[in-house]
Amino acid sequence: MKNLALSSIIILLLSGCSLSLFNNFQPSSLPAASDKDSYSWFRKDAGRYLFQSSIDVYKNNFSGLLFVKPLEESYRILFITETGIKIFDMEFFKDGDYKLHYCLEEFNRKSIIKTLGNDLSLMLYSISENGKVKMMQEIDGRLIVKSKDRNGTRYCTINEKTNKVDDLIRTGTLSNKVNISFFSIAGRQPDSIRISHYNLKLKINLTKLDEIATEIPK
Amino acid sequence: MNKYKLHTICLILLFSASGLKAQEIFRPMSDISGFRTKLESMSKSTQSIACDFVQEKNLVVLSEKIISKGVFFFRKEDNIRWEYTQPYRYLIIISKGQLFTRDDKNQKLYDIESNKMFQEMNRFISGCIQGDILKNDKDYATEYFEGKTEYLVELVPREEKMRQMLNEVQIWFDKSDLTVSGLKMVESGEDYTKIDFTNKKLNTEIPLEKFSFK
Repeated sequence: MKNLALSSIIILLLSGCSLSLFNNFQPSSLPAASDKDSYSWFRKDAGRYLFQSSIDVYKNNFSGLLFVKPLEESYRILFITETGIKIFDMEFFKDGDYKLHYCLEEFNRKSIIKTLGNDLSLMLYSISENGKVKMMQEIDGRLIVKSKDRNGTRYCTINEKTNKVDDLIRTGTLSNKVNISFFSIAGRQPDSIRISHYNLKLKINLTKLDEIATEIPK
Repeated sequence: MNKYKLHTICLILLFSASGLKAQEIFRPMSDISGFRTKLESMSKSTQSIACDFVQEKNLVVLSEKIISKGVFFFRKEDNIRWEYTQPYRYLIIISKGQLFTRDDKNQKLYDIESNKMFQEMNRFISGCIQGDILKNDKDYATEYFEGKTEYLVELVPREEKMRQMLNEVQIWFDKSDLTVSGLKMVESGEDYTKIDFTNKKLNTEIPLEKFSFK
């Protein structure tokens, strides 16, 4: 009886989430792009991305540089303090897997690394590689791409002009809800990215840096 | 040796930089005690240091570099200001046992003694800047070398735990005036951070306001 009650509560809670997300959407006749990566802001042909970064985990704040390097089959992300101390080095693969190459011992907590890994993977590969992709349309006409991964369901709002993700929400039965917002003035690269959780005190703010002025004259 | 004397010696060494160095062949230093004595004598006359710096973070495996630039100030006895101007403005002030950081969005104040990790990092960073690290035989195995135009000191952490973060520290000194021309921190992988110091000004008036937390 106890289990039945618990199951009912969970079902009710989950149904509530789904209903609230689907209220304003309807299936779209538009087909999803065959290249799922085409919706992502991160491109394989880009040399690298460098962001001024701030990571808030509960009461702690870590600031520094977030370095994103596209590789042939993956992306490498390093977080480095302003003084050059490497905090973590992770590699992200298309199927949602990631590999931790290095992490400063004091930062190396399983739950933090897992959450960061999932969040940064979502940021790079906005549309899930596995499973079906559904196109949906909001009442005001905005296009939503729905896809599923092993941790839950992703809803990506697509910008009409750039055809890139403006906003991403992932819901999950056991995982936390996370929201990723991308901002871009010119529409070619993400000028800033904000990652936040609904029920976890973890926030990541990234601001893209212009590196032209940082080169050392030879 | 008086603590502040040693700090000053090393600061002078570190920030009397001469810019980029040519590659040269190093051999074991013949007169280590003489080298140390010269450093000590240099510190006596220095009250302040101001200079520019270029920091180069080398991600060797990825063949990438991240360049940062800024200005540095020191004023006796224990006031340090690191001011990054590129790739974005970021300020670090160490004074009176506290550390203050500020960027365009946040500012933070730490009691250096309150956090063990922070203590260790600060001990290492200020040890390099102020030179205490050269005296720390307990934690580091130190080797001294000399080339045609430069001295080179290499420090290897003795503790395995420390080596996981930092494999080796290298400090180059200009042989003509014993000023430091570069600092290199090699990580457990092949990645490293190298800092070059230029445009040094010794004993100029640096107002105390430069080291206030605001």
